[in-house]
Amino acid sequence: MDSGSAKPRILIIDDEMQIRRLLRITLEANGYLVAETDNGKNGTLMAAMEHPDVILLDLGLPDTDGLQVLERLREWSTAPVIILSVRDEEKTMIRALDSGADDYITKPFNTGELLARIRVAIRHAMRTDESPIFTMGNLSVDLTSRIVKVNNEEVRLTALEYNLLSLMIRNAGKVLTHAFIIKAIWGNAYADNAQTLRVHMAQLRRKIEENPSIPEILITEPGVGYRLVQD
Amino acid sequence: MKQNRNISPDGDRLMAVIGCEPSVDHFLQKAAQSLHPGKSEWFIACIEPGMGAGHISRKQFNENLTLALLSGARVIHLLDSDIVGALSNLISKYGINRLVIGNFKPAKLPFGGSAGLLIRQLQKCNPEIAIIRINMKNESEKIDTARFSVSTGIKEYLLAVAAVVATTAVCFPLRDMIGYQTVGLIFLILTAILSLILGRGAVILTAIMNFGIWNFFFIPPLFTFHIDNIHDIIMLFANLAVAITGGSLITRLRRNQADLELSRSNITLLYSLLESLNNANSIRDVVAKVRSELERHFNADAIVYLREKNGDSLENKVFGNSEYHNNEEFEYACSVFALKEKPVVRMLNERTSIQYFPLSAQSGPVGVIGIATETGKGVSDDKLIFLKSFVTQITSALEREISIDKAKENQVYQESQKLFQTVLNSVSHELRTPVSVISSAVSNLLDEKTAADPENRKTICADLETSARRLNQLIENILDMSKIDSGYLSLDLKPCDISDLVGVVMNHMKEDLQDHVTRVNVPDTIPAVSIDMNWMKQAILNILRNAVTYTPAGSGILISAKADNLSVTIEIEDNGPGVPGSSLVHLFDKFYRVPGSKSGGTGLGLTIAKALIEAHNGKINAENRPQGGLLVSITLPKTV
Repeated sequence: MDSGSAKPRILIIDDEMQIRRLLRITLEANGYLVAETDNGKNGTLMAAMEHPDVILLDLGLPDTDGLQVLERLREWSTAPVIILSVRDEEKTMIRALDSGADDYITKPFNTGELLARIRVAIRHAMRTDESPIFTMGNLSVDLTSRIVKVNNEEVRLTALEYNLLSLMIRNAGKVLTHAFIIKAIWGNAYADNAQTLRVHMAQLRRKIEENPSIPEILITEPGVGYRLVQD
Repeated sequence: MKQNRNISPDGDRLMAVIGCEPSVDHFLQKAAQSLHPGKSEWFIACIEPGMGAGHISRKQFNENLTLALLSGARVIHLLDSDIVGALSNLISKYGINRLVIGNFKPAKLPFGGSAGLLIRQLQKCNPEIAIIRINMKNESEKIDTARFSVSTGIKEYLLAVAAVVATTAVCFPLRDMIGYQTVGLIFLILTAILSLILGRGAVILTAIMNFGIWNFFFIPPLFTFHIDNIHDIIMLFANLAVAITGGSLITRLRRNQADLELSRSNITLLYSLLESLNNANSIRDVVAKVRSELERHFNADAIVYLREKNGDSLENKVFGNSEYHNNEEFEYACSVFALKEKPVVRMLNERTSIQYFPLSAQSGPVGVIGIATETGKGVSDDKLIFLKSFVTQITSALEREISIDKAKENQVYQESQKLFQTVLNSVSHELRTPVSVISSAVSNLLDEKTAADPENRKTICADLETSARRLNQLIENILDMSKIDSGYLSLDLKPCDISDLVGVVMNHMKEDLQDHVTRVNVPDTIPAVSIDMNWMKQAILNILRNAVTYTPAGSGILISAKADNLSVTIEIEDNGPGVPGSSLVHLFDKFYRVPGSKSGGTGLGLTIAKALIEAHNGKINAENRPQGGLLVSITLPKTV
């Protein structure tokens, strides 16, 4: 892994030339080194040669299934993979996330959002954000003393709610699938845990969100899971 | 008698008349030869023998009727009372200009009536038409002996004898008291009474017995056949004359009555059949009704094949009882359809026999019906005639349904053409607008003078972004719609909180809702519902987008939810101008746009919303709020 001062490397695996070019311009302008390829075979090869810090992977590749590329990458690489998808692919998305993808972004996306995702992915990979205090808007969480405050007032969470919140904070900015959360919290994946998760998430929101009906911290990714937004 | 008149070939209508005579096939062939191809319409009047006819006549008539039905002519079925009147009616009803008569022989014509007499009478009534007589020679006529056996059973004769004997037994001891002339009168009355009850033969027997008994036992000198008094002779003959005239009169009356009874029951039957066929509203329905009527009246069942839509042969598609269908039967049905084969009763298996009739309408052959009966228990001759006229009715009912189907198809085609045009207009406009904005924005950006000003650049980029969003939305709508239309839509149903769903929608719409005052009121008590969150989000997005697009900036939008025992309702309401009442019913129609609404939008959003909600077994409804504005409500069944 490169040192923090060097420019982070990004590998783009996408068959659309225009998308690659646009991404290259955007990413280079934002201080990244970019390598690109239009097929999965080359993609795996270049991942080995270039040691990218983040891989942007399009699922609809001409030669191989994007999911297969991901699985092959995960056999030896821990570099964060962000999936570039189109709408209506939630099921594939979940499979990708569960087989090791770090995040996804839906086309058409705006570059601000993409850059934010890339930053999150790099931060997580480098584990540079293990600060014990997390703040987001009016919410602040002290992960060492387990104290949660909203508007500087302490909020009492149940153990499960706290575990859920801290899991989300540790993965701030990343989408977490239902299955991932359930496994992390309960250690197994019983079907009715999905129901319980939904209920606990609603309760947690009521406690920490300013306006629980339009949550701004813990947002739902329909059909996929939840994401804790980080600014 | 042969009359040939110059008739215009246009509107030539020829009618052949047949009854129970043999060899009508040759006659019909000859009649058909005189048709002007493509210009003549032809009819065959089949004159059915009445009750008095013997079974040979009836059988012959059945054969003739079958031939007529096979000829492709329009077959009209008449009963043989008042032939001249009935034919004259047909002539004027159908505008017949030529009438063809062969060796026409009705089962009974008064005084052994001949075709000649009939022609004379017809000509008298219808002087304007040409009547053509075709003499069929060298055909041995079968004599229908049964015709002459006037039906007076043995019981009637016994009754007559008994009545006469009883009268004699009563009158003989009283003869001195009342006088033999009174007894004569009594006998006369007896004859008159019996002639009302019994057939001609029995009455004549009564008269003869009366004649003998009165003469022998009552007229002096007794126990001889000698008569002194001339009055008595007259009385005797009067007795005989009353018997004969009364008897034959009553016989004729009874026969007419029987005919009327038969035709009345036939008419009732036909009426019930027709009524049932008239109520049918599809080809399948017609066939189903035919089957139930056949079952009810003839103890028979049916299979129907129809002509191919765009072809001349029979379509291998079974209507009716498919148990009768196999390749061999279908091939046979095809040959009957092509009129290559005369329909005969075929044994399908040990239990069932089947007879195929072509269904020929005026516009051409429609199909073939196979009527199946239990082997050995076919339809009786009486009913067979009737069955055949029923077949004619089935033909017209099927023809009607086929043409309705055709008309519907045509309408659907035209509507789809219209729809296609609408889609093309609306979609091409919707596609072109953002594309032209994008291309002009790009050329503006390339122009250094314009692009130098940062304010300009900002505006141009904002335009670019809006156009791209608009294009994306349009494409998503079209993809959603095609997914729904193709039936590919599959729902991933999972319990979901309405508040969560609404939150997701609100997050997604954050930027679009900036100019509106939005309020969300989803109580925590609303239970979760089983939905596909992504699709339901799409449905609500479309409704909300509609509210945002068609209400002025600053309008209020309220999203609320409520629940009852069975369902959960989500309501999206605004305080904008609402929708004209006449448009309300069309709001969810594909590509429908409220007239006068501002440009932008394809008329797909609400259609998609409706389809998605219905896929969730839910209901969507739109109404104008009494205080103004539109209210769209989504009701989803509680399933969790």
